[in-house]
Amino acid sequence: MTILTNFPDLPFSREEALRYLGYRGMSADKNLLALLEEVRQEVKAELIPAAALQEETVERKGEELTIGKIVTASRSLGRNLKDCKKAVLFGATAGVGIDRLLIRYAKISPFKEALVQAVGAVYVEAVADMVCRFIAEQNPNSDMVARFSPGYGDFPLSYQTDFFSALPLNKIGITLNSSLIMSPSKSVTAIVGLKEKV
Amino acid sequence: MNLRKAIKKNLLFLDGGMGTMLQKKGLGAGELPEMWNITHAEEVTAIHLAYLQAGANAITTNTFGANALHYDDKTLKEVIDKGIALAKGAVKKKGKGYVLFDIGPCGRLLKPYGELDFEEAVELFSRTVRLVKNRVDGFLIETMNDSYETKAAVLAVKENSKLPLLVTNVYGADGKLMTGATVETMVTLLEGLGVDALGMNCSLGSAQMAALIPEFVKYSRLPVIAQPNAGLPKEEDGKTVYGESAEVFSDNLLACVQAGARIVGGCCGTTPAYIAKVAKKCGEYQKSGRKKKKQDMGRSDEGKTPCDERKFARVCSYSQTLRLGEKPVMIGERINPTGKKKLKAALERGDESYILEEALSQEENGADALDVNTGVPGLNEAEALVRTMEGVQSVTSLPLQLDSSDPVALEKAARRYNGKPLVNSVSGKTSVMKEIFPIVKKYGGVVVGLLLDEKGIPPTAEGRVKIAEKILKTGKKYGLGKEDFLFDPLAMAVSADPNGAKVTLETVSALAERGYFTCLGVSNVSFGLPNRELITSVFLAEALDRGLSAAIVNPSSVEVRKTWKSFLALNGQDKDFSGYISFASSVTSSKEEKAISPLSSEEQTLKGAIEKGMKERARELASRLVKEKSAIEIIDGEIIPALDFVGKGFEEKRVFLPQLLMSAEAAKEAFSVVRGSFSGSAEGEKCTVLLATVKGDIHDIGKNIVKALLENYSFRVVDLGKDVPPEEIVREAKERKAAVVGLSALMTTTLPAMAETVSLLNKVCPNVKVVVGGAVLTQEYAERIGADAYAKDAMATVRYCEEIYGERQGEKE
Repeated sequence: MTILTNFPDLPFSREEALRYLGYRGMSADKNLLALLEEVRQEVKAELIPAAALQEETVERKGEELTIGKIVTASRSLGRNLKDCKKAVLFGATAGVGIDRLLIRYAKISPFKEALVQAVGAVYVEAVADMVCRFIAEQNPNSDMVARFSPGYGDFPLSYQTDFFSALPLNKIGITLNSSLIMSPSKSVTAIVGLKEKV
Repeated sequence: MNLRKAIKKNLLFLDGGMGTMLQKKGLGAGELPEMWNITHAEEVTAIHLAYLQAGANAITTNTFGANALHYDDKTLKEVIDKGIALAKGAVKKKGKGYVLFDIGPCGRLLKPYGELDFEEAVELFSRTVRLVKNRVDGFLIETMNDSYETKAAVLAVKENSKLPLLVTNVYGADGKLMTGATVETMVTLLEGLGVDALGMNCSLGSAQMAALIPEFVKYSRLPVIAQPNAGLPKEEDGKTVYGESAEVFSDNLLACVQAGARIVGGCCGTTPAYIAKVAKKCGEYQKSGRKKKKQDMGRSDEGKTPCDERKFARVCSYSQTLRLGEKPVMIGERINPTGKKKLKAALERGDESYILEEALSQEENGADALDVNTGVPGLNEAEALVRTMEGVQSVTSLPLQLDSSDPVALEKAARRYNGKPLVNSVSGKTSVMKEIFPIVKKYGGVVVGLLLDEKGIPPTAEGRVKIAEKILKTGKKYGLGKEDFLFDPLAMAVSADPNGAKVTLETVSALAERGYFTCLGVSNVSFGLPNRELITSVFLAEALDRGLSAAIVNPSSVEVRKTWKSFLALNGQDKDFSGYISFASSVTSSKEEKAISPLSSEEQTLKGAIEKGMKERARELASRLVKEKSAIEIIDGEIIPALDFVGKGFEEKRVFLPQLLMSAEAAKEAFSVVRGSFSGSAEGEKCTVLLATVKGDIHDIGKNIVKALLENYSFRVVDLGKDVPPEEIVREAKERKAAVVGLSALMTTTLPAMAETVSLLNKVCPNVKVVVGGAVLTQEYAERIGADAYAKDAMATVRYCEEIYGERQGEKE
């Protein structure tokens, strides 16, 4: 098990943030971009990124797939993990500070709330990408497949509980509520398959 | 020797990691560690014993996650009973040692970030504490990364046990808890709650922790605990390893002790080998120290250094600490309905946004803390105070002053407040002291002591100081000290008594000379006089000069700020004059800016400014327009056409959501100027629309957008928030006489709750129209569950509400 808390220089993609805000192929005006940048600084100051990772072997028995604690017949995950003998389970968060901003702006400015949502989503994706890069570095002899999260395809959200028992997510501040929703809201759990380099 | 005495006299060595040891013995990932108390009793005992033999003189039970979220009642009792028995058994075998009952975080995040209510958390921890039945020497609450959950757990222990309580939190590399508290904030909160020792554990490695210990020692009057991890865990060749060796770890813990920590041990990754080295090195240090000077370590500097940080009175929010006695503190007075019609109306109508705007503008104008008073006749004050306090805490991290003459309201608010509050107030009246002091003692707080008693307000300074002494003397019986009080010498209307102000100021001087902290509701002095700000600000200057610790004032008053900023600058309390300079330049620059601001032709009209989403400009232009036109003319001629233009653009996909919202906020600014003359009444409002995100769903951004737009279109919006049970929605719809109820849901899992709410609404309030929306909703589903309408986006909801309003108007005519 590995815990990561050091995420220097998280990249930020303004284009991604605009995409989350519904901009597709159309440029945003100067005023909006300035406010987006203002909000980005605010969100950045609240980031407390952290992640926990655990490597597991992938076993197959007919339709059934076993990755450590996770036992599933999900076809989409099976396809995703094709040829993978190992996989890393991880949970990552951008921190609860973003939720504080969301709650604040929900009350005083839905506009800024929307911007924080978009910026926060970009940052948590960046944290997850950094985790994947770390996994790649740790496994130079393997090829990494795209990360796969509960809720994708036919791999239901109910598998969140397995992630929470396999990883010390509470210790890094991620909790799961009774509706299987994570708090902080900007958190991600995922499986990253590893296959031998050809 | 009991534990409480022991931690005052000697160093205490705690054990190291329990989870780490259990994993070494075969505990699998995901297995509940506390079950091993039942299934692997021998292994657990062996771990306890190993730590005792390594030199730990206090061990913790294997009960980190023993709470009702993880276990059913029967198993919970069993893991707790066994857990205690195993630890005590090990101590018996060894011959000595203390047993601490271990309590970890519950695993859920508290509201508003998570779903667990504060009282539910208190009850959850209480169930565990009650099962312990005082069979141990003390409690250790550990690994808490949220200050609010920490408070819940502490209350649970204090309400169900008198045993000593040690508390440790998880700090990040930035020296803060996950939810924002600094070391000083946690010391303030935990000292207020009356714990016996405090500190940090887990997360940080020992080197980083050693660097933070001086910060604790600087502020804490209590013994400080250090229980670090052996660095961060890392997977190497399929095994989890920790970065720090026992040698490095123990050297760093010795450094912690040398810096003043009194209770040391280990967390994740540490083993008996680590604790053996810690106990040896720190034990030797303790012995050598004893020889040198027969004094307690760490506390030897107490009271001697002239700038001892511990001498200030302190309050805090969940993240900010306020020191009283260091430099004057400005408490904003605006959230108090006395003499404020608009605020009174807002409280009565449950109009949170008006109140929150007051909070934010005071913060912007430099308030260090905010007074919150909800005393309106006919209103349930306790409920209103808690609701308002929580609302204000959700938008600002400023510490709050809970202000009420109702002890029930004060107790409820002090309990739920996320931090250590200012409490307003107590007086020299025996009956009042009896009611208020237990609240302050239990929840922590700095209480304003009004210098009056059964006989009224003494006419002289001596008389008022005497009451201060009486209050202090009585407070001592409850365990309160000087730093728990802010004495208010009472500012009276000088127009009624020409000597009144003089006596008040003399009292401030006399109290300051005695080293007491003081507070004054300054504005009263000018009551009944014209141009009140002028005399108020001079009185404020005089009081500050005499050493006033805190002033309750209107931060929006330019005169007050002039005095305040100038006083700090003149008194050496504004480093580099940065406070004064930024204030002074803001006073002039806004004038200049107005004179030269270049405008494009589009932006010169209010309509254009709103369409462009320019908030400041919209406010400015609206302010100009109200001098020339009527409110109706401005609303119908400028604001509504702008909103319609943008709304139509949104529907036609020419305008994107952010632009729509920016315009909505610019319109809101313009509205607030135009409605200024309406004095916050319901005048000009259309029918009531009730909004809620249904039970189980916490995604409410869509609902918030709808709210903003509906308000723009002058609907009276009642927002019930997110995760709202059907019964509450129905009850409020009835009570508030809503014409339309708008429900949102984002997750498929919450669709049944949506259906249930709609069916209940149709049954109980058949005349109320129900409109539903959200990512997972469709027209077809809306019809199936019996909703009156489906809205595909925020504008569609506005159009629907307009339609319903139109129909209703038609019916009336």
